[in-house]
Amino acid sequence: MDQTNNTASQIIQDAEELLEEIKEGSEAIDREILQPIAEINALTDQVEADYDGVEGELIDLNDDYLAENDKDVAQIVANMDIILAEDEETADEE
Amino acid sequence: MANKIEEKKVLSAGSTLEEQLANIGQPEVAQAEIEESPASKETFEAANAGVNAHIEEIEAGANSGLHDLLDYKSESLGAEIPPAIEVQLEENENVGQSAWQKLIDALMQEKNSSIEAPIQPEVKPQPPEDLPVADTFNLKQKRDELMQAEKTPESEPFPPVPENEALSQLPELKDFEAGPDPEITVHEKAQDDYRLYTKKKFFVTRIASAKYEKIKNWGERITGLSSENKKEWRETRYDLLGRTVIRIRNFWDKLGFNWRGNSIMKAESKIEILRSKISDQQAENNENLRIRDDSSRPYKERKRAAKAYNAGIKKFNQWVGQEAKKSSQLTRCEDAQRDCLERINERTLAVSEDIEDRIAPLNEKLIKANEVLRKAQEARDFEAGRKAEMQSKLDDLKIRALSVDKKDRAKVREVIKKCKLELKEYNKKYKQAEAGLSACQSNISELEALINPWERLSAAYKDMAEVKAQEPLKEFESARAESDLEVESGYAAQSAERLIRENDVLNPAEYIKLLEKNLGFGAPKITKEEENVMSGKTWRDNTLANLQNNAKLVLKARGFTDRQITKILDLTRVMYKK
Repeated sequence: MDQTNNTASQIIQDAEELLEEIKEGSEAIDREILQPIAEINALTDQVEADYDGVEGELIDLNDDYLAENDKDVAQIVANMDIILAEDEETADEE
Repeated sequence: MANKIEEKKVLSAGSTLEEQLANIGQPEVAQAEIEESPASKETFEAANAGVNAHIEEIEAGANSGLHDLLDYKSESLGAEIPPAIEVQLEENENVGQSAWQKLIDALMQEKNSSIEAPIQPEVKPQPPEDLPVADTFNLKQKRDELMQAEKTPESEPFPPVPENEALSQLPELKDFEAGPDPEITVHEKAQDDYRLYTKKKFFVTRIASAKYEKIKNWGERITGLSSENKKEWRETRYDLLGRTVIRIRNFWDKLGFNWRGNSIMKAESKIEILRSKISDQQAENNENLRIRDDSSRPYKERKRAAKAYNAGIKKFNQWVGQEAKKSSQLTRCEDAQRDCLERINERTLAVSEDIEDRIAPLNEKLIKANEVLRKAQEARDFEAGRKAEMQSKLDDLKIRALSVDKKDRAKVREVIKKCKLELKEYNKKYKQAEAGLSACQSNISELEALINPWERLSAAYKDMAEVKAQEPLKEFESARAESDLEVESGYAAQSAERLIRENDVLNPAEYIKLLEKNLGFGAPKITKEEENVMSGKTWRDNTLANLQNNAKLVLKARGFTDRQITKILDLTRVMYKK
C-alpha cells in the first residue's frame, strides 16, 4: 500500500492536485475577500463623505432644539411668576 | 403594656375633670392638694414618664400605636385630666390660662355630646405634613420651664388663677373662636412653611430618584456606554454628545419632572389651608345654625348663635372666594405648564425624526458594508481551514518524497517546490485579505462611532417626547417594579417614604452623587436645608410630624376645632421633646 502511494507518479499526481487547490484558494481569496474589501472601502468612504456633509446640520439641529427648549422653559417660568405674582397681589389686597 | 397599666394608674390617681375645673377657681385648694400630697411630684413624673413611654411605643409601632395614644389623649383630656397635664396647661404661658379653660370647656362639651356625635370612620394615616419647626414655637423655652418646674416643685408649681377666670365666667364660644390671634397666625405660617418644606423633601426624594434613573438611561443611550465605561466615554472624541447630555439634564432640572416648582407647591399649600378653614367654618356654621333653630335653648344663646352664624357665613364666603381664585390661578399655571410640555414634546419628537432622517441613509450604507464584511469574514474563515489543510498536505508530500527512488527524486522535488511557492503566494494573499478585513472592520466601527450616538440621541429624544406631565413618577414606580435595576445597581426599589425612613441606608443626596459620578455631570444644586433633610437630620421631627398629623386628623374627626387641636398638639410636642 505504502509502496503504491509513495511511487513517484503518485506523489506527482497528488502534488499537482494540491497545486490546483492552492490556485483555487488564491482565486477564492481574490473573489470572496479582496473584492468585497474594495466594496466595503468604497461604501465606508461614501459614508464618511456623507457624514461630513450632515454633521454640521445635526449639530445645528440639536443646538437649535436645546436652545428652543431653554427658551420655552424660561418663558414658562416667567409666565408662572406673573400668574403667582397676581396671586400675591390678590393676597396683599385682601 | 406595662406602660399602659402605669398610665391607667396615673389617670386613676388624678382628679376628675369637674374637680379640676373646680380647682381652677380655687387655686389655694389645688396648691394645698399638691403640698399636702407628697405623691404629687411622683404623679407628675409618672405621668410624664407614661406619656413619654407611650410616645416611644408609638414611634416604634408607627401608626399601629397611634390610636392608643389618641385614646389615651381623649380619655385623659375628655374624662380625667391627670394633674401632670393640668400643671403643664397652667404653666404654659404662651397658651394662656383662659385659653386652656376654654379648651377644657370645649372638651367637656365634646365629652357630653360624644354619645350623640356620629362615629367617624377609621381615618387613614396621611403623609407627614404641617408641623412647624421647633424654634417657631419656642419649645425649648417651654421645655426649660417644665424642667424647671420639675426640679423645684415647691417654688410655685401653680401660678395663681384669677377669680374672674373661673368656670362660671368662661367667655363665650364665639370669643374663643373669633379674632386673629398672633400666635395662631405664626403657627399657621410655620405650618405652611413646614408643609412646603416637607413637600419639597418628598419632591427632592422622589424626583431625584426618578430623574437619576431617567437621565442615566438617556445618558447611556446617547453615549452608547454604560456608566461603568465612563472613562471610555470621556476618551471618545465626540464630546459634543456628552455636552448634549449635560444640557438635557440641566433642561430637565429647570423644568422639573412633574412640574412641581416651589411656587406651585406654595399655591397648593395655600389652597389646602383655605379648604381646611372652609371646612372648619362650615362645621361651626352648622353648629351655630343648630343652636339658633333649637327652640328649647335660651333666647340669649340663640341670639348669640345667630349672630355668630351670620358672621361665619361671611367668613365662609370670603374663604370660598379666595380658594376659588387661588385654584383658578393654579389651574392657569398648570395649563400653561402642560401646553409648554406639549410644545416641548412635539419639538423633541420632531428633532428626533430630523436626526433620524439625516442618518438613515448613512446607516443603510453601513448596514450594507457590515453585511458584505460578514460574508467576507465567512470566506476568510473557510480559507483559514483550507490553508491549514493544504499546509498539511504539502508536509505529507515532503515526507513521502523521502522514500522515492533516486531516479524520480528530481521530478518529485520540482513539483513539490512548485506547490511550496504557490502556497507561499496563497499565504501572502491570505494575510493581505485578513489585514484588509481588519481595516474594514475598523473603518466601519469608526463610522458607527460617528453615527450611532446620533441614532441613540434620536431614540432618547423619542423616549423623552413621551414624557407627560405628572407621569414620570408613575412610570418610574412601575418601571422600578419590573426592572432588574435593583440587582444591577443595588438601589432598592423604594417609595419616597421608604427612602426617607431608611435614609441612613441610601438617600437622595447619594442618588445625586451617583448621578454626578456615573455620568460626569456637574454637581447639582442642593440647598443646605435639603441636605439636612436628605441626610436624615430632621427624621425625629418627621416622626413627630407624622404622629401629630394623624392625631390631628382623628381629633378633627371628633369635632375639635383647629385651634383646640393646635394647643393639644403643642402640649404633645412639649412632652415628646422631653
